[in-house]
Amino acid sequence: MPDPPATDALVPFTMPSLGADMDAGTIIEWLVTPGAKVKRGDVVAIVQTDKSDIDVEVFADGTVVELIVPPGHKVPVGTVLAQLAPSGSARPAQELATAVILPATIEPQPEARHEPRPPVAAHAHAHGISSPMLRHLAEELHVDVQRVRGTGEADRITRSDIEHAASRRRISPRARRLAREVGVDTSELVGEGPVTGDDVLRAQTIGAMPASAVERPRPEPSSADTMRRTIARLMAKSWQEIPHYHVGLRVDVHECMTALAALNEQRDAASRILPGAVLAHAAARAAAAVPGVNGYWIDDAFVPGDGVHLALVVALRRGGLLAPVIHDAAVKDLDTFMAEMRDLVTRARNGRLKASEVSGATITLTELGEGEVDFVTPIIHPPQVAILGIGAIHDEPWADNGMLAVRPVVHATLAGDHRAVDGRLGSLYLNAFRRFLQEPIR
Amino acid sequence: MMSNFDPHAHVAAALAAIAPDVDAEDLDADLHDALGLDSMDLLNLAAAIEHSAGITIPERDYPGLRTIRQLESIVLSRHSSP
Repeated sequence: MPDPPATDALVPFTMPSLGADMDAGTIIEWLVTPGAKVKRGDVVAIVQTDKSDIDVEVFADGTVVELIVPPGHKVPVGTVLAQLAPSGSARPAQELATAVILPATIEPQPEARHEPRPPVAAHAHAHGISSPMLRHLAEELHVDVQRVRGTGEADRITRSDIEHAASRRRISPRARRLAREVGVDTSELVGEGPVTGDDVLRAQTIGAMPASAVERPRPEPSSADTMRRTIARLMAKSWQEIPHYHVGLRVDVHECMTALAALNEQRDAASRILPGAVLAHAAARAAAAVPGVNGYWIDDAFVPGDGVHLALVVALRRGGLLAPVIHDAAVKDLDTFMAEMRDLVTRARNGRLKASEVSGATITLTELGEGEVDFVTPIIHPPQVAILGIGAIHDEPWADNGMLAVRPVVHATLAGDHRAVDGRLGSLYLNAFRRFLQEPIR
Repeated sequence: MMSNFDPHAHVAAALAAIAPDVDAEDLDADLHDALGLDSMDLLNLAAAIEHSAGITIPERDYPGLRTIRQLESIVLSRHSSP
């Protein structure tokens, strides 16, 4: 048996918050075993939430030391699922200190903390915390135990009570503003370190667009009602709070679609490019050209996106929506873009997406070409400030140089958040979109 | 050998992989409206059938393609005269 790594080097891998209304999750399957080397971004477990199964990635390089929670157990967000020994010594001392004092045991009654309890009296902590380890944990996480309600035996304060309280406290100012902006309950965001703005955006994105496209049998089928409710909440909030305007442009796609057909003629199906990918690629490049539409409205100010991360609205066969994200979409060539779009859309409809693949969008595209409608006036996904809607490519009479012709045309409609984006920027965006569609397909 | 070629087997296998909830025996249902397949599904379907049947299904065969029966007829004709 190999020497176990020094315990002061361990970091906990905890049940992530994968949605604003998620307070517990079930490990369906571990994809690693003790001793496995993992890299940041590796999928190590499949977690089932009330709405979907999500591939959960690890956020540090290292070695799996111990799997603590076995498959089939439902545990609260923040519960330590496994212990990792990080490679190198790059981790902050604070995090290591936190790790060493987390007991490697499962709370016996995870549900207990959700039961209503009478408030704990101010002096209760004297007998509320029995273990020096937990006291140490509370100190480490800067939790005032006098303000923590105990949910264990005889109202004793448990480890998860402290972690829960810690998660309420450690929230960056930006995260707090963002959470207010997009309606995310930060008390649900438990994880390692302080809650950051990205955590909030991720929770909001996943919570709003839950994946439920898993086709295989599941212990508890995803709830279409829950998905409907989350979409309803987000769209109602958007429509009530965001002063939308819409600008539209008809684009003649004759040349670009002719060039695409010629390109696809030379290729087998697996390497062909869909018209929808050409339009989406142009939408992403236009967002890079007009960055004022690409970003967030947070705390009464526009925050530009750090790159163009394009969410694609995907309709699921069984109803509902999902919005996987092509990250850095504007700098990818068309073939790479198409390959990624194919992978994401296919898995959105049939398989499973990773947590990182449903988060971080800076702008959204909804293509209703499949439904054979001519145009759509879409609703913005807060905190984003714009969404592009594209209808089906269809033949229209087209005035060209004083002559009437029939051309394949697409109607593009941009919805802008008028607090952040003026109509002129929206117009510039649509003109950039058209310009990119007029460039030769490479 | 040619006479043993079964287009339905290739289409059904591809469909099972790409849209497992879709009934491959519903030969005349509309692929888009009734079965809910989108252009990405059709591309994946074509790619899977090309791979399994060793044929090429050019894009110009797609227009007018509405049902599994029509798809099987395209697969059969491409297999007979590539």
